[in-house]
Amino acid sequence: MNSALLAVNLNEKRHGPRTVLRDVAFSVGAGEIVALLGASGCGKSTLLRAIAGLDTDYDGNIQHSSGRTGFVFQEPRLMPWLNVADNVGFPLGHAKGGHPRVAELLDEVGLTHAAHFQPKQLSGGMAQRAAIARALVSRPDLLLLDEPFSALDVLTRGRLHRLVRDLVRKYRMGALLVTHDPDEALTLASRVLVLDSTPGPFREALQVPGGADDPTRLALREKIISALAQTHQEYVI
Amino acid sequence: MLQTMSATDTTLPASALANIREPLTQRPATRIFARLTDRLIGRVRYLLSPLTGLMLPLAMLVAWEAVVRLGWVSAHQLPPPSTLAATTWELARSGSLFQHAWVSSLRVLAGFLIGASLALLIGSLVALVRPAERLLDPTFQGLRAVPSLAWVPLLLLWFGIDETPKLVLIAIGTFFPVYLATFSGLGNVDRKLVEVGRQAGLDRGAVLWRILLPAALPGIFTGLRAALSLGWMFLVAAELIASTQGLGYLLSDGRETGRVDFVFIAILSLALLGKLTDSLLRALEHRVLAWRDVADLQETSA
Repeated sequence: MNSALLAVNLNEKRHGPRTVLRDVAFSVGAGEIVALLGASGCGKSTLLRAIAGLDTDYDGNIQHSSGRTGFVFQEPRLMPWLNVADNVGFPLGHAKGGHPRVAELLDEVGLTHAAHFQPKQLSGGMAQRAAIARALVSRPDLLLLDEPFSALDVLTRGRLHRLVRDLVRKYRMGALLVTHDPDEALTLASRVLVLDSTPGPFREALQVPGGADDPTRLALREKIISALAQTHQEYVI
Repeated sequence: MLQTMSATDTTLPASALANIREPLTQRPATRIFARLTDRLIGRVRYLLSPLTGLMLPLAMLVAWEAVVRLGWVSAHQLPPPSTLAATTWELARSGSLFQHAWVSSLRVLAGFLIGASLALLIGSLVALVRPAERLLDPTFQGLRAVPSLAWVPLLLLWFGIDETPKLVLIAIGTFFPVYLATFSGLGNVDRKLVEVGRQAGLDRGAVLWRILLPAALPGIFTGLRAALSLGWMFLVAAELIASTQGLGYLLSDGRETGRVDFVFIAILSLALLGKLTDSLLRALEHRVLAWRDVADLQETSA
């Protein structure tokens, strides 16, 4: 791995009396997609929010040299009173829909024709593509994705997977993807981290070999699923 | 059940099927006629639809005129619409009706602008700054409990009987609905949208201006419309007590001189102006809030 873009060294993160995360350490390099898996409630989203700076109440340190992050949430979270272009330009300032960077990104996510649509006119996939464009508009070097594809149908999801992979490659960003889908993790990520349901270090950290037809992938998938199953069991018991 | 159905299907003679199909395919003339009448009825209904709301008032007007003409009610108690029309014409020709309406409208407008903008400002402050909420909100809630007309004697003592007490009264009356709407509207904005702003590095002012206020606007508009109608109410209160101009003055003048027709005309003018200003505000609301993704309740329940 080349020099880390993001280095996370989290000792402890609490929600009130409950410890959510403990001893979580990992890094993300430029051009690398890292997937973060785990049972629901294990603190995946909490970790992502801490990295994004939305939550600063933790013990430990998170180093991100440039500090420029783009965040794609689970829901598109477009401002319903702005059209698509102004939504994409939102981080740049008020009514920045005409900014050349916005036009470029709209083209990249295939929404040029929808630039003047209102969010209520968009399908789920289009709205999420607009949200991805918005996350990229201020030229982040780190993209944080919080289960952004979970509400989409299989075809749209596949298309957005390709889109995100291409964008990460093109802009040489690092990306951290929170997901609950092992296949999604294997499709997109070069590294898969599985969080335990009890606070502690990663239960599993796997390198994903390149090439979708690599025979070791199937074994990897089994490994991820069994790791997830164990965390689920602990969760239930 | 299924079996009996399929049984009748197979036993149905072919000629019967042909008969069922025949009127549709063989008689285009009746179909065209039916379509034309449908379209005609639809057209008439479309033209009449704005008049639906007028039917009841029109019927009442006719009944009103009849009741007075028949001598069932004295014209002194209840001037018939024809007399009202004549007096309106008279007042309109001398220009005094427009003068009264104009003065009243200006008072409502000025009071409303002062009250609503103060409410927007203070409501935002109280919603966003916790110390301000602790400091100010209990006081405003207390003041809100005072029936606004109770301010009248105090305002008269403080400001005399010229324009100031009237504007202050209207401003007080319009302040509270807008204050409440702003306060609760800002408090109910989706946390998820605010997070987008924080993630994008917006400061507090930008979050307020670019996310909270637009998101709270639907609620604020409801408050503004409630405030405007209250503004007209307090205008009448203020003008009834001490004024030499305005529709409220026309009301009290009519009462003192026994001109019931003046009273009626003032009431009608207030109704018209109230409706007109509300429609203007509503049109603005529709324009500004066109982005809302709301269900058409009348459409879905029909």
